[in-house]
Amino acid sequence: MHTLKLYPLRNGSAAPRMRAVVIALLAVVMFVALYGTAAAHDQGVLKLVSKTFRAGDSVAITGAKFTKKDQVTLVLIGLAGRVTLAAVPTDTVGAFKRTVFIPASVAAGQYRLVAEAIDGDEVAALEVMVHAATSAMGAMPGMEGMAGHEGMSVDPTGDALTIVRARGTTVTTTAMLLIIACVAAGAMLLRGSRAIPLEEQS
Amino acid sequence: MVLTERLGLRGLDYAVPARANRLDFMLGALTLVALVVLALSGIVLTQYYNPAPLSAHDSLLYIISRSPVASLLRDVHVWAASAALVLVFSHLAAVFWRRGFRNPREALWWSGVVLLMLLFGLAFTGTALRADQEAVEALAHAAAGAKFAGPLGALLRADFTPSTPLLSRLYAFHVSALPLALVALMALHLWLVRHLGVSAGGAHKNVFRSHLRLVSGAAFLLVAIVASAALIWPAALSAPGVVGYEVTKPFWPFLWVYAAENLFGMAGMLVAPAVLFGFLALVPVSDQRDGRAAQFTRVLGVVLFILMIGAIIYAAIAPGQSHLGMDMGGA
Repeated sequence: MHTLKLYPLRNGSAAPRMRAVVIALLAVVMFVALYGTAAAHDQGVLKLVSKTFRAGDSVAITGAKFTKKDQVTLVLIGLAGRVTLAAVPTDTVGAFKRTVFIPASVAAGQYRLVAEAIDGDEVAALEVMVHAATSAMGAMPGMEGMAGHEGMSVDPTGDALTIVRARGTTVTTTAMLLIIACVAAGAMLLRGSRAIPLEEQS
Repeated sequence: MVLTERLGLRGLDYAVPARANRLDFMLGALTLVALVVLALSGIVLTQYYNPAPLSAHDSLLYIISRSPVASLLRDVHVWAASAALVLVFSHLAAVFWRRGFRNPREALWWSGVVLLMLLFGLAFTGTALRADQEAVEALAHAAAGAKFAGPLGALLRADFTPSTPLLSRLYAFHVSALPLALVALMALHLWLVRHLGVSAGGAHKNVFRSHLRLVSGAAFLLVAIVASAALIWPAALSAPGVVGYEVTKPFWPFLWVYAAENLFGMAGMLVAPAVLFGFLALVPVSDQRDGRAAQFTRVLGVVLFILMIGAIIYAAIAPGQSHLGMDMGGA
């Protein structure tokens, strides 16, 4: 009777213990696997002659301590978005030297110059400042010389640009006719409306 | 008569209180009209606007200077946004004053509060799409708020999805997620209005069709006012934004938050909206029947409303200030 009471207790306690050991082992295996993935890239170092440059400039970037014989992508990341500059191979000691062109259309502001490994991991970063290009910024084909681009300020300003608006006579006249039609329709509906009591309706 | 039968227009002949024909009961419907104008003009603008950060400002310059129709529709879009916000605030104030949130209309009020939040979200994302100085400053404030909010602000972090720029993601929100949520909540709101009725009171009833006729008349006048404003005062656009500077003030519906930030810094920017929306959420709880709690709620609501209007006026006329350690440029 006494022995019979002990058996279920032993069986009951052994199974959870075994489960805990298996889960712990799985956790360790997963941690090691994830750590291996996380540590797959060497953290590199980026160097620039100056951390301040102008959109439209060519900038020499050197890198060191990256994974040997690998490839990194140089990207500018700022509030306005990200600009991919170049994909650069690293040499046998994990270094590279590359001159990249900063597109003239890059908006001025603070950016992070980031080196990304092939799988997108960030392996190095540097804070940089991009000043606006001095020339016009026609980023879209066919936009060169467009109204609003000439004389555009490169200093921060909230002043409204002086833009010659595309308001043809046809559009303006049509809009005014539509406005008159709306006013007439509105007045007619408001003046001609008569509250219909529920009793009258039924 | 044939159309009435075939289209089931008899369904519009249900009873509404006679008082509902007053202007203060039409503000919600007029807000809906402004939203329809926004949706229609917005659909056309999506064909011209380029949400890539480096092209966004250029595409706006194209819209303004090269495309007569899109240029006018952009101005209509901006004015309709202002009209929608003025109307929705007036609607909110009118419903608050007549205690239209009391049993059984609590869900109606709460759906309206969430709709207001969505409208603010649309106004913010719309401002950011301009990619000019005001937009960059709005983004900087949102990014700072997002950083402060930790995981809750992840969506507004520039590196949330590294493959897509923040501006492009905000554009996606502006034209998909936020309008979808708005339509869904609007459907719920209108369903509740239809089935719970407007909080007008009074024994005298009219048929809804006569109310609809009056609302349509007011809607035509609203469209005429918005279009006239768009023709007379076209929406401005400043130079492409430079990050790290604060030289502008926000779109007027956010001026009260700007004023709070002037006075209390980052905490003011976060606490002011929390106070407003927290209060609005609690209104149906604290004011269910006449008594001290109801009186207190009404007084607090009026005080908050006056404070908000005062803060907007103060922020509009006060000299500009920089926040978050940003430079004021030559100012």
